[in-house]
Amino acid sequence: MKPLLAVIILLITFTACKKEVEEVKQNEEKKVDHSGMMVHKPWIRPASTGTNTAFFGTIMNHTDVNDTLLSASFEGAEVVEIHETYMKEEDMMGMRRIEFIAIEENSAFKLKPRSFHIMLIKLKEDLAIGDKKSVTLNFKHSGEIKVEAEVKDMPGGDEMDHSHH
Amino acid sequence: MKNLVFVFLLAFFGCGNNLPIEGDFGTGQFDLLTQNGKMIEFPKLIEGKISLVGYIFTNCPDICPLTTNNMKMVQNRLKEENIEGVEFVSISFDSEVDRPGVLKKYAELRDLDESSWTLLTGEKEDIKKLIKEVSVVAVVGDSTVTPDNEKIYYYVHTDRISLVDKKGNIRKSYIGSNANIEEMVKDVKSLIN
Repeated sequence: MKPLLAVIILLITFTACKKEVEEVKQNEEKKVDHSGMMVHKPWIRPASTGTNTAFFGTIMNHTDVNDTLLSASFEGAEVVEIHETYMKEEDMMGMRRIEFIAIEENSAFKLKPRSFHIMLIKLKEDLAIGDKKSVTLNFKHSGEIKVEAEVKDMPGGDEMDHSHH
Repeated sequence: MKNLVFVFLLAFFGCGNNLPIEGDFGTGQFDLLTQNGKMIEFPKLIEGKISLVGYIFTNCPDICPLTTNNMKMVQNRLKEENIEGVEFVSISFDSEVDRPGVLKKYAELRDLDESSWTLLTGEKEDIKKLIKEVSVVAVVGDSTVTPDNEKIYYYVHTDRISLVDKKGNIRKSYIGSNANIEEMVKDVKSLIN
């Protein structure tokens, strides 16, 4: 019986240690990949020189501080503004500038079609499907966050809002 | 009385499908320019064809690209199913900005199949009359001023795609930016059969 007991104790200890190591590893990964402010799946719609387009993505505030998106910049556009698309009547849609977007601590905010977006106005260059462009978001507390966005027609999965406003 | 109801239902639904007639583009013809700079008459352009017609302006960064993309997805689905003879039309209500070259670039950047897709622009008054026929509204809303003092304006507009039958009747209207692809494909097929 004694050797069997020893094996069981060893197995329990090994499993516990392994679990602990995995937890530490996961926590480290969290620290590396999901700390601070970041933008998940950023993308831009294609558009030609002289016209406008929009930047989308999910802003992830993994900090313990409420933050505010104050502005954004993109070298390829003459003006960059924060905008929202709104419904005026049943099937009338419009768009207007807003001053900022508040993002609560440890929460996510979606810049998505038919909703909030970063408006890239009067492009200096064509943005074609497959291009990758750098956009900088400026937060009150987190400062400047530079993200690389892919130019594509449409997002995938839950980034599209199918609800009516 | 029963016969009257039957006749009414037949007239209302007609032709073996269940899409009522919602309206049409009027009796007149409008001289419009395509993305290739060719002058055409509309709605003559789509006579005898089933069509999906969207209403856009190219400076629109959100709603209009979604409308265009939804139409593109329908076009792709029909191609996959070897269904031919369906036309796609995008009518711009921003005549001043959306000249043929701008529309051409808009189509190219989105990889639209122009063999069955026409983008149209025209004189401001003509476009105004045309979209009024189908109760589409487009009014200038907010604007942005560039560092060069150029005013860039945004429209508040009807978000719509119209399904048009071979006789030019509008058979269904969809919320363009939020249209259901399956529904549109099914409706197009119902007009073919």
